[in-house]
Amino acid sequence: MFSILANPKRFLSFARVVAPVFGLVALATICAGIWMGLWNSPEDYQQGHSVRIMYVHVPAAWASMMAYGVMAIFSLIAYVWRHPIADEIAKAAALPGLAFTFLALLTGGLWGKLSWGTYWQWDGRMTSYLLLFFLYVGYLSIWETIENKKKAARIAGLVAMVGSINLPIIKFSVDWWNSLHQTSTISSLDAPGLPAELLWPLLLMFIGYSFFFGWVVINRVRYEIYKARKIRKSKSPAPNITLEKL
Amino acid sequence: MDRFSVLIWRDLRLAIRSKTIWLQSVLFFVIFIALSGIAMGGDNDSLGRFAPALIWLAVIFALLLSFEGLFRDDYQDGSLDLLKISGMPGSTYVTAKATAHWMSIVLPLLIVLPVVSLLLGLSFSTYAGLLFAILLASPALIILGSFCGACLVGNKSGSMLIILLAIPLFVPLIIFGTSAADSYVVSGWNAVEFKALLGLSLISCAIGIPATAAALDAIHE
Repeated sequence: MFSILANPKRFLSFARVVAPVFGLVALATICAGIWMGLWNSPEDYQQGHSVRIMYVHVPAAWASMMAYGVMAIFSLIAYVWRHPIADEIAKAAALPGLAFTFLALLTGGLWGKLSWGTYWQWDGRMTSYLLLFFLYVGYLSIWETIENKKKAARIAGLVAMVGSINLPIIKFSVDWWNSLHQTSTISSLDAPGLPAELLWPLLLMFIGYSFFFGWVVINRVRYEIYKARKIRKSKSPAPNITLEKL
Repeated sequence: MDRFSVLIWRDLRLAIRSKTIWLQSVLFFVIFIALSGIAMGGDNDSLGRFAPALIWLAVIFALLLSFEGLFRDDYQDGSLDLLKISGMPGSTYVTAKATAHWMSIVLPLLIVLPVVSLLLGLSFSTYAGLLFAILLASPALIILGSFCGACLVGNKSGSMLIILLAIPLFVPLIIFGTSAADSYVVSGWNAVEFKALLGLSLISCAIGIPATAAALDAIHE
């Protein structure tokens, strides 16, 4: 299925249809999620209104892990089959991933100050999210440092794949180091440990974040393709000599 | 002698003759410990409590500074090209380089470790736990570090970036390593940290050696 989209032209016509749809779905679900989360959900009996930070924090944390997964998988695809589009997707996923990680860290700090009394604690979950942040920064700085873009793509892909050793550590850190951060409540969709009026805005926000992520990635790849075309066009045209003239 | 041991011998001879590699890291290690002892006021109680963490930090930093030069000389004088033309598998080359690097960096540090732990007033069992932890973690440290070094070999502004790349890969090892020293005192060899360190080392070798070889290949393309 993906190999059809490996052709830049087909990718562009696909993106022209899909990107606006993703953008609209993201807008609608995030608006609905914010309304449900901020106005239409009960406040916590202990935490009061500060529990509403959850609707920004938890989906951001999920989305940042998903973005790294996307980055690593597309790096693998690019590494094995050498699809240039896959490289562009991996590269495009890094910046929104970094932003999600930053958002999760920021809102986590604010929430932690309100409910635990500290902005930061060196426990497993927070430390491993800081690691995710550094992984993204390292990946992006590879693209900035290595000037030859083909080489940069290969190296950055390897960095993303090796860095994914850390993903399971980040995922399971809360279970291994049982500390301040609570363990994940939502383990499967069938038996959520969360009442429906809290779960729905959370899921809506996550869906919204995911579509927003897709929208950003597709548009960034589109931009890169247009940029590459422009560079190719602006170069001097090939000499127009045919065999007959010679 | 096969190619693998020839490479190791060559690197070891180079390391012994130039002295800079191993002497630098040992000096850095000792200076780091001495300075942190002075900076913490020389109070033996608090030093003893933080000693495993301090020693781990010193080991990590001494190693981090060494990876920039690991493949640099081979890359610059063209021996990397020759080795590639000779048909030597990339992973053999990487394994030989990493083994030689372990012998010329980690081994000197382990030799100095007893003296340093005397300076910091460590008990024998903490020292033993620390030694085992460093031994178990060192394959992962060396391989992951050489991967980061290979990614940026021949890059002028690479040294800081190598550290940035390596830090997130090293942190799980630091976390398990520092707590391993304390757990060894309580539960000996059964401490779960040793299993975690060994597991991380095995995973890192399995992924890191081919990845390093691939990175060196990509640099050449």
